[in-house]
Amino acid sequence: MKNGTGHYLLIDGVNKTFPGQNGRERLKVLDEINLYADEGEIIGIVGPSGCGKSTLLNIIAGFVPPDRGRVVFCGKHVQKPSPERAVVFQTVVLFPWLTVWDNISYGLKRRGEKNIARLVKRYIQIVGLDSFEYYYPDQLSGGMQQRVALARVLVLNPRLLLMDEPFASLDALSRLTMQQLLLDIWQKLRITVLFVTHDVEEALLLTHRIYIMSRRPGRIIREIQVPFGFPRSFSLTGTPCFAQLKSEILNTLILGLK
Amino acid sequence: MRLYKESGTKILCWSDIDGRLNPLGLALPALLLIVWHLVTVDGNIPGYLLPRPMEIGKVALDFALGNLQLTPYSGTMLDHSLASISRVFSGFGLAAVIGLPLGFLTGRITAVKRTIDPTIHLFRTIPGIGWLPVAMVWFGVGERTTLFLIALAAFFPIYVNSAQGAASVPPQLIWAGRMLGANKISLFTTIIIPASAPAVVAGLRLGMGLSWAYLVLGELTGVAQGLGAVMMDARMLGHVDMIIVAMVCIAILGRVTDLVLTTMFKLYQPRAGGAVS
Repeated sequence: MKNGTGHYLLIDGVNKTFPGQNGRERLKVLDEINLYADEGEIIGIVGPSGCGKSTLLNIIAGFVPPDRGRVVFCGKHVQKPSPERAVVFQTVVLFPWLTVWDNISYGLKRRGEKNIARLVKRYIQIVGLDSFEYYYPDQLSGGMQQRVALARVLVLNPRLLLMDEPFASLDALSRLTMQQLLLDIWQKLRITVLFVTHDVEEALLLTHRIYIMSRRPGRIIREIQVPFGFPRSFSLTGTPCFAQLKSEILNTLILGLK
Repeated sequence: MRLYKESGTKILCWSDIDGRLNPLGLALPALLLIVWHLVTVDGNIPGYLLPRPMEIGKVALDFALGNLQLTPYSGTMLDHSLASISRVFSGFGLAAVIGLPLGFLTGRITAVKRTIDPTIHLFRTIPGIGWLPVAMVWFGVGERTTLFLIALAAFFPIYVNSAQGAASVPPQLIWAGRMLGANKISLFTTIIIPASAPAVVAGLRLGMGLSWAYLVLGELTGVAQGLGAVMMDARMLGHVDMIIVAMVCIAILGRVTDLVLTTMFKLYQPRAGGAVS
C-alpha cells in the first residue's frame, strides 16, 4: 500500500478508542486502519457487525475525529463534514418535516444555488422518484426513502459517496433494486464510492476492491481485487467465479472472528 | 414495494383531522346536559345552587347581547373577555419570550444546563398558587399580580419541554445537516428548531392551559374587568348562573387558544402537525 498523498482518498494509520462508560473498560474499535481509494473506484469495506465499520465511515465523513492517524482527501486533511464527502446513513436520516422535494433541495439552499428546481428535478428522475415530490418521508417505503437520501447528496455533486450499510434494512427485492440503481448511477456519474456492508454478495456485486475487517478492534486483514468488469448486473451472482470469491471472503471473515 | 405507510387517525376534539364531525365526542356533553336538565327541572335543587341549563343559556345570551337585562353583566361579555384574553396573551407571551430561548440554550449547551437547570427546577417545585401571597405584596392586587402569576406558571412547561425537545434532536440529523453544508446558524434554524417543534408546541399548549388557570386566580384578587372578576363579583351578588356562564366562557376561550396553537403548528409542519390532537 502506497503512502503519501498520491491517492484520491487515503486513510493513514487511523486509530479510535471510545472512553469506557460507567466504569467499563475503554473500547478500542479501530486499530491502525490503512486504506485508499482512487478516483472513480467503488471500494467495499466488509466486516462482522461491531467491527467499527460505521465508526471508520464517520471519521472519513468528519463527524468524529480519529485518536491517531489521519484522513487525507484530495490532498487535504479531513477535519469536519463537507458536502463534497456525502453520506448515506444506515438508517434513513431524512428530515421528516420536509417533503421529498425540500429534502433534496436542502443542501442546494445551504449552498445558495440558483438552479435549484432544474437540479432537483434531474436527480428525482435519476433515482426514480417522479411524482413523489410532495410526499413526506413517512409516507414512503424504506427503499423509496433511501432513494431520497441518495438524491439529496448526489444533487450536490459530491466527490466521494460514503454509504453505511444503506440497504441493510430493506427487504430482499428492494435491496436488489437499489443495488442495481447504484450501479446505474455509478455508470452515469463515475463517482468514487466507499461502501460499508456486512453482506459479502453485495460487496462483490457492487465494488472494484474490497477491504475485509476483523472483529473488534477492527483491523484490515485482507484486500481483494474484484475481477468483474462493468456494467454489471445481478446475473453476476450466479457465476462460479462469484461463488468461489464469496466463499473465499467468508472464510477470511470467519478466520477474523477467531 | 410498499409505497405508503398507514397513518393512524387521531380524534381531534369533536371533529377528526379531516374535519368530519365525531358523534361519539358529542355524546358525552349531550348526556351531561340531559342529566343536568333532569335533576334541576322539577325544582328539587334550588336555582341559587344550580340553575337549570335553559336559564344558563338565557343568561349567557344576555351576557353576550344585552337584550334581556337579566343580570348586572348584561351585554358585557366582549369587554370582560377581551380584558382576560389580553392578560393571558401578555403573561403567556412573556413566559414564551423568556422560556423558549432559555429552553433551547439548556437543551443544546451543557454549560448552560448545568448553570441554570437545577435552580429552575428548584423554583418549579413551588406550586404556582404558593406565589400568590408574595405576589400580592410585591405587585398589589389585580393587574400586575395576574400577569406575574400567568407568566410564572406558563414559563415552566415551556422551558422544560423546549429544553427536552432541543436536547433530544437525533445526532444523526445534525450530522446530516452539517454534511449537507449547514453552518451553525442554519443548523439551528433548519434542523434544531423544526426537529424540536413537536415538543416545543406541547410545552406551549401546557403553558397556555396554565395561563387560563392562573388568569382566574389573579383576577379573583380584584380587577375591574375580566371573566375571573365577573365570577367573584357574581358570587357576592348571588348570581350562580353568571358564575357558570363565566366558566363556560373560559372553557371556550381556552379551547380556542389551544386550537390556534395547534393550527399554527399544522401550518408550519403539515406532516408532524397531523399527529397533534
